[in-house]
Amino acid sequence: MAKTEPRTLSGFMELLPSEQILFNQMKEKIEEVYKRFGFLPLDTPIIELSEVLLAKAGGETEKQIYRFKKGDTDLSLRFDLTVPLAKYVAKNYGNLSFPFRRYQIGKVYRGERTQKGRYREFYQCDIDIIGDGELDLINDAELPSVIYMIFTNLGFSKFTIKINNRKILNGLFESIGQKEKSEDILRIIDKIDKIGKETVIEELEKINIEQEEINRIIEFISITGNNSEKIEKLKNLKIQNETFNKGIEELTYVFNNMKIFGIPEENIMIDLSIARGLDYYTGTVYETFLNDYRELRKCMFRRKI
Amino acid sequence: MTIENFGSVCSGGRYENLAENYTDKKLPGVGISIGLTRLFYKLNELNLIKAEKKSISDVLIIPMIEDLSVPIKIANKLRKKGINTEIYLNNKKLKAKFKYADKLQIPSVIIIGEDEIAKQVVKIKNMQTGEEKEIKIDEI
Repeated sequence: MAKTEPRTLSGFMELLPSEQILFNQMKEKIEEVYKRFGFLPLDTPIIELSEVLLAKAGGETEKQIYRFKKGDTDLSLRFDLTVPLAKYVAKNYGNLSFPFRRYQIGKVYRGERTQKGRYREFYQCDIDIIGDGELDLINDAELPSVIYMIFTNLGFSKFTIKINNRKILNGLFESIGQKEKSEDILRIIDKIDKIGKETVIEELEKINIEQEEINRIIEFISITGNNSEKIEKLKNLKIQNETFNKGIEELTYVFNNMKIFGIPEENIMIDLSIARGLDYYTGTVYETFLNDYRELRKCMFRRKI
Repeated sequence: MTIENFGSVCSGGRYENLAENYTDKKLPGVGISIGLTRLFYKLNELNLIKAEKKSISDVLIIPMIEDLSVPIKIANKLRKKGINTEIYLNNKKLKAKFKYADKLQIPSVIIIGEDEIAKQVVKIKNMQTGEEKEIKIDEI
């Protein structure tokens, strides 16, 4: 009898038992910390109606969606856990208590170009806090402390939680009269770690930003110093723009409260170049980076996570 | 120094209105997401984690008798106590059964043969030290 070759699609992770044990241990550690902070569990379907999932999507996201028909129904696989959360909160608004704190750990699907280390099916471990009408800024300071506990429990100590505030960037663009191009500018400067300063300048020139304006953008994102010095230098730019100044105020408040939530200052870095690709962020933005991994070889990862 | 090419291991931020496509209610929020698959892949690739645990069993019961009722009863007892227990449920030579425990690095094995049944005991072997001791079945 002819045999079918047992293959797994590229971009889909499949592990041997010992690796799976390790993977699950990491997943359990993350879940444990989410619960420790009182986040509620949520599990939404992997398949949703396309009209629901794609209510907002456009451009790049839409191209990556796994979309198909079953009978006459147009279906899609979820590509993140945020859109299903939005649907869920809107649908169950009357039955939820706000602020609604939920965690969700699940697989999402994106038909990206396959390359090494790029997955088409992957786990996201999300936490969100949703307010009804309003949500106090202090919440922005609590979330990084969850992340701090997770990476600490996973055995890292040298990692950096980078924070910034989109209002600062948007305010800067308003002040140089480039509000319309702010999305393009953000997208370009978001890549500075990957492509370097020179290429950022070239790309800004390509979208017809004046040299003087480019200088101000670069000058701004090159602000250096420790966290307090950066805040001081931002204030010293004396940019007369309401959004900009609101952004500084929020960033300062979040930064100060992150320390109260127990994150050591050495693990926090205000990084004015962090912009986050997605356009729906309006205030605080975060990224976390691992700094030095040699410690890991020595520590717990080897035995028990 | 940041780990080159590692990229961000988690990201997020504040958004003004989560569900504007589904409701008129204004729902501001803040969220963070950890990309676990990518994190795991990268840590593995850089040899920062090593999958060393090959089993999650605390105990492997090795029956050397045909009637499996005593081994099963002992497994039931251990599982009730919260001890991860598996029984080698396949008729193989003793050597093969030990090899299985060895390969999966299961910390302890419980051996139950004719002699043990007669004495109402089991033999427990610590697979790391090789140390063996007998325990009365009643005392498990």
